[in-house]
Amino acid sequence: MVLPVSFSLALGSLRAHRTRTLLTTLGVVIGVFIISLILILSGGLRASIINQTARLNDDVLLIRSAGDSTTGMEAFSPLRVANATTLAERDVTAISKLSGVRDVAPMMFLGSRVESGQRFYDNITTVATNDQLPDVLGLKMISGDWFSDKETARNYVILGEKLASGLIETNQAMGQKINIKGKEFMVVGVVKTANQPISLAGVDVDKAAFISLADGVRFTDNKAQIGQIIVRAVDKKQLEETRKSVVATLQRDHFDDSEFAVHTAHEAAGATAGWLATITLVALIFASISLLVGGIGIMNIMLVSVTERVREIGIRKAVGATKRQILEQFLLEALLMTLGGGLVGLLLAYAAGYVIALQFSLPLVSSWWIFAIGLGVPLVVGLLFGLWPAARAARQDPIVALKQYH
Amino acid sequence: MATTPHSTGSIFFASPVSSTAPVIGLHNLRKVFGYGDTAMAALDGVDLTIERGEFVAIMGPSGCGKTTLLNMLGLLDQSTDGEYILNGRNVARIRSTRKARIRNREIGFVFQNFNLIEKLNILNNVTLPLTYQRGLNFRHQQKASQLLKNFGLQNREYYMPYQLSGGQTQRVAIARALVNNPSIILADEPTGNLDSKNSEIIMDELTRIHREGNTILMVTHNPDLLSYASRVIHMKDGRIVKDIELTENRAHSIANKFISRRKAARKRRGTRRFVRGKK
Repeated sequence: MVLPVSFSLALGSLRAHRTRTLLTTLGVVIGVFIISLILILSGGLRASIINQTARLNDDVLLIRSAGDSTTGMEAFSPLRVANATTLAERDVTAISKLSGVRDVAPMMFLGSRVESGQRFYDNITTVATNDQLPDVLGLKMISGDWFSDKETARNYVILGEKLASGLIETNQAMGQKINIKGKEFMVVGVVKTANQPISLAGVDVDKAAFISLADGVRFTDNKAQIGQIIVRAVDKKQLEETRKSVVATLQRDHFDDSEFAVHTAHEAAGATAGWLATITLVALIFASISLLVGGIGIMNIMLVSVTERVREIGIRKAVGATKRQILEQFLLEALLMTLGGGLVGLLLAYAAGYVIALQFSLPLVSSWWIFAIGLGVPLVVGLLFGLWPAARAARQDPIVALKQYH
Repeated sequence: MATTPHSTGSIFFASPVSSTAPVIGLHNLRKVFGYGDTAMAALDGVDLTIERGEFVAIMGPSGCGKTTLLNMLGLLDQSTDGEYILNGRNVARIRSTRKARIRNREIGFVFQNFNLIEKLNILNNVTLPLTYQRGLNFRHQQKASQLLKNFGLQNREYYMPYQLSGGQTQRVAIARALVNNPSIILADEPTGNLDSKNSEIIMDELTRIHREGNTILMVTHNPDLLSYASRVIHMKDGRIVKDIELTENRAHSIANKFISRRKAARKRRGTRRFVRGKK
């Protein structure tokens, strides 16, 4: 075993071809960078979904109209919620009367055009709901107050922070009149999300408008089509019992069990996390292709290197290098390139991940397995793509190699 | 420089049986290059026995198979036919890894065209055989450095091969062949590129190594060097045509004969050149 020697030899010959080495390694750097970044970001997203959303809402039940079997991400898609709804106002009333329930917030989704005197936006999600929504979702009022459920509180609208600043140019949104689907509403408040990237609302609160359910049903022939009901239990330890009574209530009022689905926040977040995992996997597959290309680049350069150095190999063999020692030297060269590239890619990914996490207020996760993948995959790539050139070097016949023109 | 060649533990001189057997035994060794009509026998049935401690000079016209024989003896090349017994072992049955180790520990090869690695400095070139052995790199370098000093190259250690003159390069190549204290030295015209002063340095070193009981085979065209040898082999067309044991006196007389012949040849060449020049 002459590993330290092979190491210094390999390092020396890489240094001798600095530009070539750097360019070749770049492929691996990019591959590892992308893979690590995907892992870091998806890890951050996952952490924020599971930990923040689920833990902060461990007393919450989500009732969503389910239609058919709830598989994968479809069951939790807001689009799906908005389309076929089987939940009605009487469900909200019935559930609110249950003993274990503290708050019930229905959410009826209306995609619509919203306009102020100055500007308009198409396809703004308008949510028709009641006065319990801000508590249930943990929304923060920037100005004004949430509307009450009283009859007098008609034609009032609460705007999400971003929608408000986009729609109304002056700083003061309060009291402004805006149009939703041709009906006039007065802005009575501006709201923003609590600091959590994924909310249970199923919509981006900052870009949504909120009106009362009574106003909302005027757009749908006075028949509420509720996409989602959020229930907050009195006691989070009793969440499972509350869930049972909610399910029982709904079963009584609906013919078909499959018309609705009741989830805890944790389950909903888990499904979103599963959906995220699928996206991550697909992204990783594509990113792996870049690493594959990087690996092929390394193999190519190693083959060139072996061809260039046939005479050197011959000399080394003549003075007593064994096949294995030659193999070691060339394999180590490939490994140094991939591992070096992996390390640089990993560091760059963490730098970029830090910036992105800061920007989107995600937690920056760093677990040992990201490092393991960031260095383990290049190791495998190095072995895989370095082995053939190294074997070719090791197989050289010393006499033929020495006769090479020099 | 350690002066006892076997102090580091020889791999095949270790057994008591082989120490009495001839170092090299060749029986009807043949090496054919090419196939069919183009087949050419570089070695055409060589029988040769070399005892331990001999200093053999191999002479003969170019193309007579001297270098091929040396490659064969140095385990770099394989014979087409015939037997090569190295220290009582049939080489055909030695595995390649072991051959590499024998080349590494027991054989010192001085190539005709130096064969230094261009990218390594002089010190690292000389250290090269040792890097494939156990031990600390700086100890290896110390040893190489000492040897370079013996050859008057101590202030060239960190030069690159292309920065050296032909003579210096040759001395480096010889230093590399000797650095592992080989018991068999195979030298392909070791002084071919050297002036008489440098030749002397090299030959003195080879003689010293020979006196320590090592075996030396040297291809040469230079009859001056025959005075160092204990035996002269003449080759022609892949065969050994003459095999002469030399006593001190005999060696000198043969050497003189060659020298006078060479002088005559030089004269003839000179004349020819002159004639050509006139044209």
